Amino acid sequence: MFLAINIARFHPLFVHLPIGVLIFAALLEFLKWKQKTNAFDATIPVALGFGLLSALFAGASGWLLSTEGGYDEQALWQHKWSGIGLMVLSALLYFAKVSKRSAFQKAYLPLFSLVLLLLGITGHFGGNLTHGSDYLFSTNQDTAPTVVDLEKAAVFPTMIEPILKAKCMSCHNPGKAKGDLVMTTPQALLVGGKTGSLFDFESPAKSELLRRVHLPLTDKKHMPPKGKIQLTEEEISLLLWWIENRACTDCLVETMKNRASVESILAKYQVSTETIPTLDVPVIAATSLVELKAKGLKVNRLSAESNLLIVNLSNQKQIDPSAVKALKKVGENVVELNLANASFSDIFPSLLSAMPHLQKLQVQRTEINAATLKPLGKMEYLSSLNVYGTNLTDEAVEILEALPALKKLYCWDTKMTATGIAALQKTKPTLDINYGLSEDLFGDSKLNPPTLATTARIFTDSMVIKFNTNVKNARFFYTLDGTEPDTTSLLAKDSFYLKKSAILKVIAVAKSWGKSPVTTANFLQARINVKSAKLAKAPHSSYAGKGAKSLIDLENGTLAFSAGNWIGYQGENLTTTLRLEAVDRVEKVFVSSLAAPNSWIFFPKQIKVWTSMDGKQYDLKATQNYSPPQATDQAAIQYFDLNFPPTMAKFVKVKVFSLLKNPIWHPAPGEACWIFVDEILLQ
Amino acid sequence: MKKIIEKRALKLNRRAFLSKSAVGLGSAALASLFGMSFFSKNKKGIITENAGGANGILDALHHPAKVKRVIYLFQSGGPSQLELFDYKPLLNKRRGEDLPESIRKGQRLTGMTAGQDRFPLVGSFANFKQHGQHGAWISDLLPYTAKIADEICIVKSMHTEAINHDPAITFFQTGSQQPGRPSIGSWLSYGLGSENENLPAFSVLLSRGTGRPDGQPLYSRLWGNGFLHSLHQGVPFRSAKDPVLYLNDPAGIDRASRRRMLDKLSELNTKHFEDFGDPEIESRIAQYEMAYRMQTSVPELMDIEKEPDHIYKMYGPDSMTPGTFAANCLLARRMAEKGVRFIQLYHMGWDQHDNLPKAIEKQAKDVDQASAALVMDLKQRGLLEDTLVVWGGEFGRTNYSQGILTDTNYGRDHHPRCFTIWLAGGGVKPGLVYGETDEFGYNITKNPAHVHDFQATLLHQLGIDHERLTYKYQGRRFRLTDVEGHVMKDILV
Repeated sequence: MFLAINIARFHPLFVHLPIGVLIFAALLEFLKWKQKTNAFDATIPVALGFGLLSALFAGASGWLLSTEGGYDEQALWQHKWSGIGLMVLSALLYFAKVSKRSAFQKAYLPLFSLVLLLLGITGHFGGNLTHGSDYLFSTNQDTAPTVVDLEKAAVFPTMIEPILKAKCMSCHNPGKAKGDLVMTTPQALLVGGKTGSLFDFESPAKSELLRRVHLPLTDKKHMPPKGKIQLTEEEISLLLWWIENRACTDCLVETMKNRASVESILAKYQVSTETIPTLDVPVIAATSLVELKAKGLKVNRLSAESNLLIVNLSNQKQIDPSAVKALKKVGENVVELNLANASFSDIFPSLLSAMPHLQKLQVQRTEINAATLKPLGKMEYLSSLNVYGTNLTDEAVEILEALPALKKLYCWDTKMTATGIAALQKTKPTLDINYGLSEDLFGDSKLNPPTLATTARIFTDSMVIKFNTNVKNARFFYTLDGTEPDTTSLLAKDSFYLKKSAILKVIAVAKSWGKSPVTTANFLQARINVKSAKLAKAPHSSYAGKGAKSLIDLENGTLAFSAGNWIGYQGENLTTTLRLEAVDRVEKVFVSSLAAPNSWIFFPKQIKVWTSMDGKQYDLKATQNYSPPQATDQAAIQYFDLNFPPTMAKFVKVKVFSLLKNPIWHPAPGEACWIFVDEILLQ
Repeated sequence: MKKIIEKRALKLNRRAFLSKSAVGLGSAALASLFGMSFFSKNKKGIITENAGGANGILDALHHPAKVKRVIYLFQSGGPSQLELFDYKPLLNKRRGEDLPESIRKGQRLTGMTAGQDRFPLVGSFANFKQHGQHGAWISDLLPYTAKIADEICIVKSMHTEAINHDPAITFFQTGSQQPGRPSIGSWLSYGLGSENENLPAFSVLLSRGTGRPDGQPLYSRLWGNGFLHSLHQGVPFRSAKDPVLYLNDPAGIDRASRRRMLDKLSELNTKHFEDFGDPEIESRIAQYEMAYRMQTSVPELMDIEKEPDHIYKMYGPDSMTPGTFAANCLLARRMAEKGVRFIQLYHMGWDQHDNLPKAIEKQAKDVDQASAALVMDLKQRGLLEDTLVVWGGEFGRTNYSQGILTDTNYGRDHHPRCFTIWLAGGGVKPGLVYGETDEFGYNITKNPAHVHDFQATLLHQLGIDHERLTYKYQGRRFRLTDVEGHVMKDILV
């Protein structure tokens, strides 16, 4: 039995032998008659004999296959008996050919015609059996159905049935009904097959329908069977979604639950609004395109093999009359025209009149008016129109309203009024009008805070403070007492003279920008002149600056700490002694220091100040501790001031204590860290 | 005419023959590619570049194009997806815990963290909120990008093969980690030609970020033409007085004498070409001509003085400082209006191995407003529908801290397995968030998109089948996507 079934399965293969061989024999007979030759006389009987033999084989295997069942009785009956008839007739045909009897010879030709006819009929019935009786005349197997309104689309006929039809019904139809399952009607689907119901509404993913689909391809229960076209991921998702909705056969998309999982798939059913209508336009020869290009025109096909053209004349100052003529000649083919910023708006009307099939037109930043756009009235395909940056007024609204296909309109920066736009929107509610951006998108944009031209923050008599900003025609308002500046504060065009220590706060103000954020800087006036300075120990050779002189040169360093104004020590404290020009009253010491945690540089931990009259006997005047650095600290420069009761002094000694080691949170904890000082001031 | 050519060919002496062979047999093919169609004699008998607009190798597009130009805002250094787009609260919850090996799955590391004995997970210091109709998660570091969430398509599932900057950028720009192949813009110039004969079809604008001002430099070969004709290389525009170097006439030379000089030079070069047939000679002639035309077109392009205040306000205050990313975005829009095919911006400084929180804040501020402004400015001018804007770097950053993790500070190393880019404009689904990563933000769990897929998609939008734009060199047909790449249909309209 096992062997028998295997032979039976060869039926679909065997059947093609008699078909081919018998037609071949017919061909030879035809040639023999046509060419009046005897060359095939020996071959024809062989062909007919082989045809008979293969027909017997095909018939036998077919009989065996029919015992497997699962076929529509009527269709099977038709195929079986026409096949048997064909076997008998081909046997008769063979004997008619080889027979010497004239009666048989006379019957030969009619018999042959009959065999060929029956061959066709049997083959057709066989095809009906495997592919379904409507296979031959059904069309559009590949094009998925589309809908205009997705929400109102019926799910089963639009999305589910086509899948079943394409992938399942060829075996599960009333004619074939493999596994006693028929899938051609909603009722039959609910009935299910030999293994029971197709659906499990409690746990949809475990439904028999989907279980079969998810079995390994090699499993013989896998559906569709190996070798047939398989379901795609999208189709499986759709089926699952449908079963989740209790395999509803009359639901609309909007009434179904769990949309999220299939949203993107559903979107494909929506008729694309951008499909290019098939236009009946003249063929554009390659040579005529070359001619157009030779005239300096940027003309291109929409794509290879398309006769639709895209023309780009944007930014052109002039156009040759002969080029215009040539363009008009192919006007019917032009679907996209770009005239943006073109200077020859006087010829736009005649150009546009020649291009009735335009879908996209760009005339932004040109000298157009409503009259220029008159020819648009005839354009039934125009869907995108760009008129931004023109002097177009509300006069154009009427023309725009009349455009049947218009979907997008760009009319920012025109003379069209809000009323005109509103009227247009009212008549064309689906028109996407771009009328500029909403103010809340970028309206809060602020100027950058002004910057100071100099990095120096110390001076003796006076200094010029110069402000910078990157906006033109800005004015600067500043205060010197630490209060927030506004437009009633002191005004500077771009600079002013500073004559005493101050906390400077400044804003820039510019037309249409308003006020910038505040920039703050502390300026110090050094009242006491220091004659010389001495360092207790030489600084690190890489950061020695100009030696001790750097500390009293009234020049500040910047965050670019290798530039030369800084004195740096690694893993050591800094001690310096300053000698004044003359004995003076000292009450305040400023130490300017740098922190750059990434570069292992930190502010001081502690500063001590001593004074002396003779340079030998020093009295401790002030000690100040500072909080340890935090991981969040950024690179910065800061003044540390120490106050003490006024003292007459000739010498001042300052000791700046370093952290000595990187703090525990630092990427290199415990390593020797740096202390940087660029200036020490006395007051 | 044919006779003359044959005569000429016979005249080729041994030396010329050998030097021609040295250029390679490909030159013969090249000469036929460019020689006849690309150059035509003008009235004066001088060979000039065909002024006929599109002069690329493709006669026509493979399919109708969705976009006519591309603006690529390349964020060089590898922006951290975890601080900008890929919201992973789990990383905050499990802060400081080691990255499980079940997630890392043997991912190779750079030399910078390979020596680290632990990989402490760290979540974003910046807060995230949902924006737009589709509720895209965008960090507070990008307030303006968040405002245009409905205009952009965020792809969270990009992945690449390279783990260090140069190979990764080279891979993104040329389709190969090894240098030597043409950049995307060069491929487009080769395939589609120029829409404006007065400006290069492939223009490059560079800016340095404030996040890491001393970050990796970029090599000019990133906008190189590789084995393509050198006409197709990108032209960098500088922010300084001379936007394009060596373009200005020296003092005392006026335009007429420049013209006469070029004509004479061209005659000589043409003669040389007829003798030797080296296509680079033609390239040189064409480039001289292009430079001559650029002498007027570039100053006009770079003259942004007349841009109104509200446009500067859109792009942000930095746009008034030449050379910043914001100023370059504004220039990019002006180039787009002039028909430049491929506008490549590079913004350096995203390589935040340490001190990431502070650095990325500044870096994001550099680009956020201007990127959003560019998209919206194109939109209000009706150009967004046929322009593709791309924003993204060469790879992402790790979900664990490089260096010691403190309460407020951390860094992130390079991560090739997942990162985020966004696209906006013609033919890309606006408001879409595509692809997903796991809770750790380490592996892709849905819709992975490879660099080659991105490149295939970019070409697709321009009407090019990425498998059919090829160039035969050294016996092999090369293409941008090498032997891979699938168009990311899911993100396209």
